[in-house]
Amino acid sequence: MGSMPADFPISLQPWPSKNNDSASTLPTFFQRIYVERGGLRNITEESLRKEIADEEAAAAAGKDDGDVEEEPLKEEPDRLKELMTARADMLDHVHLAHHEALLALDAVSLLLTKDLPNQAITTTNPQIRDIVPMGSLGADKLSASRYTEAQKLDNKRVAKGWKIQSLNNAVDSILASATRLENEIAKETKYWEQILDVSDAGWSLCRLPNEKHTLGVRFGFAESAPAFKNRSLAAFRRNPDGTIYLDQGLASTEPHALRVRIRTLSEETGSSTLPLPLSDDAPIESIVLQARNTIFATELWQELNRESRLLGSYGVRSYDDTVMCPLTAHKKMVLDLVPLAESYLPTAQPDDNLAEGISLSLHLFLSAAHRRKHRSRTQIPPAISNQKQNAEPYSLLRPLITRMNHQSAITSTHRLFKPLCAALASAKVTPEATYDIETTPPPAALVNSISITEATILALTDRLESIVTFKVTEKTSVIVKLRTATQQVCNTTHTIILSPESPLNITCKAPRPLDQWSKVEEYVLYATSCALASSFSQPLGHEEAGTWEPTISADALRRIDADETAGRGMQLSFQADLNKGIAKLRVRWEHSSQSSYGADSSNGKRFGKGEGEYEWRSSGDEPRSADWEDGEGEVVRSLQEVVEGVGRS
Amino acid sequence: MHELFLISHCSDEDVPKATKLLQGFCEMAPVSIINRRLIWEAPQVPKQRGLDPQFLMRQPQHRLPLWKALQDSLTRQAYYVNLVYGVSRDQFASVATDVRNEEGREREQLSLDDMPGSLYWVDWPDPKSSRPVNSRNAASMDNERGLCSLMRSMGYKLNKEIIEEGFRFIHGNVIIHIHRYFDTPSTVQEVVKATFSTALPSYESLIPFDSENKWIVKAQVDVLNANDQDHVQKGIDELLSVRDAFDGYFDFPVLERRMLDTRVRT
Repeated sequence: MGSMPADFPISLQPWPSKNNDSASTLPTFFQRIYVERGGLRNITEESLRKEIADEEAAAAAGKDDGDVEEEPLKEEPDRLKELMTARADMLDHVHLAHHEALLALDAVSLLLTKDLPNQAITTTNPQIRDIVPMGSLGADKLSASRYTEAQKLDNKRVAKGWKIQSLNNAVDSILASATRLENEIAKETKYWEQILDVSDAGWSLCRLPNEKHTLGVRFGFAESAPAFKNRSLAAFRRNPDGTIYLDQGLASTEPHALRVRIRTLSEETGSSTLPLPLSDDAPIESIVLQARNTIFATELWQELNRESRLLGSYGVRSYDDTVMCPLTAHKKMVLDLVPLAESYLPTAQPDDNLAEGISLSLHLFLSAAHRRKHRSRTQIPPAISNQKQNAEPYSLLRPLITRMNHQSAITSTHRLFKPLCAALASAKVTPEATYDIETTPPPAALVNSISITEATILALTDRLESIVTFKVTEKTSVIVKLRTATQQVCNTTHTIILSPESPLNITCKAPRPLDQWSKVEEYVLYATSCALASSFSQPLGHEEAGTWEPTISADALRRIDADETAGRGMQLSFQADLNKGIAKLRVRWEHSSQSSYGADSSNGKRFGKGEGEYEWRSSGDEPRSADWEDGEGEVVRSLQEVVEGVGRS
Repeated sequence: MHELFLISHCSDEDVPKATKLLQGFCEMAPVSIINRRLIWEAPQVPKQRGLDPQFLMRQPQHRLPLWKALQDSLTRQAYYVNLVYGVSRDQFASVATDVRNEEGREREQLSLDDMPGSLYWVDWPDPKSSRPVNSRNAASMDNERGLCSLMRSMGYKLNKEIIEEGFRFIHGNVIIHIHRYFDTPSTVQEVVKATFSTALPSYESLIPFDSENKWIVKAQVDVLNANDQDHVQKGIDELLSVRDAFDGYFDFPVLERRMLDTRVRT
């Protein structure tokens, strides 16, 4: 090896491989295998092949899933990449354009340096100025311009055409936007006009709590039940043509109203009027009004149903969609909630006014109930305790029932006392029997604390009191107090009081307060006969022979005749009766034996000698008398005459 | 009775707006209130006399438990007690006539004992707890007569009289008051201390309590039995709903006990 020079580089390393991939050099290979697999022990050719096959299969399966997921992800970066590449492209183009323009500028300025050196030098690039001497380019016209006049004119015209076209386009677009703006303004004006109409009509407008940019109207009532309060806000939304419509959300927009019908013995004799439904293009404030009436009627219907469940004892019946309530013995009213329909054509019926009146009063009662609720809500609440506040249903039917009961009591009063007084008048009882009805106003303490409207309603429907004074004889007056109140029981209580100096206080005491008119009638008739009897008798202890004395029966008298044998006398009994509107006053006299003091004689009409009876009757026209003894057509005798004539014949 | 309450304040020029907000929130018109508050101070004796037994015997049966609870509290400690009488604006004298100057016209000087009034006592507030509202024991006996004599029989002394004017709103169980307070002129105070007369000075002579003319806003809920957690929680929930509704307008912090101490300092 001496032939090799001393500084000849000798290397025992292998030739460096072309692909300088450090990952595939043998020592690193071994290192990696030890790290990943923990040695060469468990590696065989088959296991490696299997691993590769598994990986490929997993990769193929994973790619299908991953593709879908990755695609959108890829899409995002793709778009971004696209944008970036597009931007880069654009920048390149711009740069290129700039470059070209600069070159062109340089070329032209170089050209111009020949003719206009001062101006051209300002526009040339200083580098060009250094490299290329100024004024080194020249230009000259070779031949006439190829642009003929016609072409130039043509070009000018084309340019003008383009200008006109683009101006027209601009004008058109401006006009279009102006028309659109005008339309919008017109729509907005209409919208605000309608909103102002609604506001001027008195409705309260507010923003919707959910959508702060939309106006809405509150058409419900502050004191209604929570279910109705939720429905009482509606939004104003704009139609495409600018008019507004009322959007009531989930609530149904079909208008309803309460209908009251009167039925007399299963035949319909009256009905309240129902408003016609509004058409779609009616003014918006009337639509709001209709919505308010609907929600009021719906609430009224619900409260009526609630209350009718408590009033079964008054004959009120509630069915699926109707409520029936008796008014008088023959009439009853039927209530139901009906949707308003255009085809409703009312025919005039006799009880229409009654139905209309009842419908109005039911509406008024609901308003009064709202007022009461407001008053109780705004008073200082009691401390929170276990005491439950029971929510009583509103009294809507109860005031009506109270009033009806009281009115029927007064009618019964007239039906009793008028014929009775007529019968007494025909018997020429002196002084003349009269009766008089006086209505007491409600207590002032109650009325002063509430408003006039509420006081009026209260005065007409609650704590009604009428005092009937029936003057029979001088000493005896029967006072009947009729009291009807809405609280608890709506029936009339009848309290009977006798005048203090009347002898009836001993013989025919006034009963305790009665609840039925028939019992009052019974007592009044009996009291009348007793009063008449007492007017003819001497007071106890002043018996004289030949005069009438009182007996155990307060309506019968007896007379011991001085010349008769002891034990025989006359018995005189009085009886007042009312039947089918005709009052009868009957006086009967017969002989009595000692064993039958005051015993009521039999109903047999056979009279012996010296016995008989006389009757006065009231009727619609004149009083007639039925005279058993004499013939028809005789002059009516007075009671005084009859009694004095007893026993003489 | 337990009173859960929150107090805030409002400046004079904000009051019309505040009343409008409260009107909308409570859905009712404001109820205008003018009260005379007579503040009575307990005697500083080691053992308090408590309520007159004769008075207690005359009370109706259903009110006795409340009076007895009050009696327990008043015998334990010396407190300031308020007697509240409602008056109307036209009961104030006009500027021309003075309370004492009654020559030529005999105006009937009624004693406050003949008028119906309320006895209002509050304990100092409960200690700070997890409750986000102030709470204290309270008693309010309404529509009672002869209260001034009752106070005197217990040895209490009339400290001063203030006039409270403002509005009241109700929201569910929450009573919201917005009031300002006035002092009466000292001459009138002397007359009232001596005779408990019902005569009032002129409205214009009243001196505002607060130099900045601030109004106090108080929202309170009364709970009958403080041990009933459900009721107390219900009261707290209602108060908090009021507080949150006025968030940003009225600030209702939980106040320190010491600020509302009603015990007489010995």
